[in-house]
Amino acid sequence: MSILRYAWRELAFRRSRSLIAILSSAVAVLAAVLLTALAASYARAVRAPIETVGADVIVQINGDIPPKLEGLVFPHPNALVPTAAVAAIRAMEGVISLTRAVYMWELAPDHYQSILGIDDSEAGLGSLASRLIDGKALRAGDQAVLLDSDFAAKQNLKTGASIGVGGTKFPVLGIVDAARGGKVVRADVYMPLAPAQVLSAAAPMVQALYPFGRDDANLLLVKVDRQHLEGVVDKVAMLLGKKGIVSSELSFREALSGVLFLSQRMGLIVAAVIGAFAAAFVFRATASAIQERRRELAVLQAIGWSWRHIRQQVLLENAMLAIAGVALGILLAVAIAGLLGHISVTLDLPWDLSSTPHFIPEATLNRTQTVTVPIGIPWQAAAIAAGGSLFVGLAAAVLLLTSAPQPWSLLHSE
Amino acid sequence: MTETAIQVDGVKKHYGALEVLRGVSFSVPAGSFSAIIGKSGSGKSTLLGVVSGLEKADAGRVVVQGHDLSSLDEAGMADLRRRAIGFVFQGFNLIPSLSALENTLLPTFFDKATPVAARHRRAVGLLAQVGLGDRMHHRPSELSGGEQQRVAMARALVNEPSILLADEPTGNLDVETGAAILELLLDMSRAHATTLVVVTHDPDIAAKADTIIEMKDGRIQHDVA
Repeated sequence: MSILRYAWRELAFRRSRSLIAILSSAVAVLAAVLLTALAASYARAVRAPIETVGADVIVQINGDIPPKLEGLVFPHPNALVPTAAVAAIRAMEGVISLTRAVYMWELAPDHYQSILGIDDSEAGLGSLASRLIDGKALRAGDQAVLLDSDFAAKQNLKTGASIGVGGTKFPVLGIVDAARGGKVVRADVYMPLAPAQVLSAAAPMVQALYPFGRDDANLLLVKVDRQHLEGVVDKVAMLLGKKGIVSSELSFREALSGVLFLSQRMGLIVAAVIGAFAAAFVFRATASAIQERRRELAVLQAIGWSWRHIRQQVLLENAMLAIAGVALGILLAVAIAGLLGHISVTLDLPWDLSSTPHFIPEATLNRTQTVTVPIGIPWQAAAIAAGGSLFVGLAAAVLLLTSAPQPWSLLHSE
Repeated sequence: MTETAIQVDGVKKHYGALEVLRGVSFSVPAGSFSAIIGKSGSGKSTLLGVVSGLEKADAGRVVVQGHDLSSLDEAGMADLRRRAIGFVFQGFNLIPSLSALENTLLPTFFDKATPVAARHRRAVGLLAQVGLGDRMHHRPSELSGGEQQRVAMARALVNEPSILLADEPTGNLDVETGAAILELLLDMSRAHATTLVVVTHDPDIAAKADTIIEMKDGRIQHDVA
């Protein structure tokens, strides 16, 4: 016989009261964990589209429509980004890296293709290398291309073949699977930045609109320290003016403001309210149990238990109830998260980097992105909820058993 | 010279305006059997509470086994009760969630000096002595009143106290069971050489005592040895 066994006997003996206390803690923990999990999933969903292009901020400038839609053209939202703007963005506080790119469409009466020329960096050629499924990776000095696997299959092109871009033949160095998990802007044809700049500088329908030189870009992929994200977005937007398109996870926050508000702010409020009710329940259950056991506690005093021993016993019982409640709450949260599996959110992409020109009917398919994010258990939140539940249980016992009463009135015969 | 187990000097106790003990003094020799008698409301039960330290005296001095209770803090008082005093109550006061054996073991929880196995053996032995060797795993709700009081006696003696305090130990029992319990209490007390103080209104119990302390209106009316 130990105090642990005595505690267990007491809790089992007062089954209903124990069950209420356990369920109170469990509901509070369940609410806190599940609501935090949902909020975290929505937050991840908001970041997902931007993460798929391998950057925190995408910078573009709205341009004009070329006089003729033929040959190499810049898509409408991909006007020349001035060199001074590139330098200013690179120098902004919080900017970790900046990848320059040239994004083009090549239009012909019988086919079209999108071309991305990109810097040799983590978000550029580096990310392409990690998606390579055949052939060799591109290096900055190569006069060659990689093809997207879907495009290559459609065009029946393989590694070692060649493909014409803007009238120049490029050997196909390899095939990349950018669609699945690729942190890269989708395009049909990928090449190093330099040849793309040369092609753009020589393209009549580009030059008709912009004085695009051999060192210019029309798309910037910026990696930003998350703490500075809002600041960088604001500064870039101010720098580029009305025509600037600055896309980041903040762009989706607006679109999903209702859901995010519900999942984050309301989730927090609901969890707090449930937590407060649970704390009140635990306090009430402890107070009732102590009231009910006044005579029993008096007996313990009579047979030589000090008040410290008695308080330890009640603390132990409350700790056991809290631990059981926390375990049940987390188990339920894991089970419900498992049953729900994931959340799916369909987002309108705020930037236009579609590999299919927008005037092609099927292009509409690419203007939205459905993001599926698994609902994971936020263990940090679970730990906080568990700690809170344990604290409430122990605080109830401590606060309700502050000083030893004189118990004789509960024990004597007269 | 006979050793004194309990010394009470000029003890007073009020409950609001009600003066329950009005300067009570007496002593109980070690190993003796004292009966405190008196009508209901005479203060006899309160006197037992004060002697046990479960009730604080407003004035006066209580010395138990050489310890002045006024000099002990709550933990010290608990320690003294655990080591030196056993209780038997009118209402049995067993813990309903625990078996007879577990109830008997309760006072030994913090006896670090005795190994767990030895404490267990002692509790089992005491339950056998009070005739409950075959019912030690029963809960109080599964035992009769007499059996519950036997468990309470085993619990009172498990720490081998030098003083046994009993408050109307037969008050909730029928005459026959009460008589049997009293005999057992006296036998156990003699066997374990404890000082026995019994609060009772039963003259038959008092008749068996070495000393009778008769209380009336908060004072000792007679102290008969």
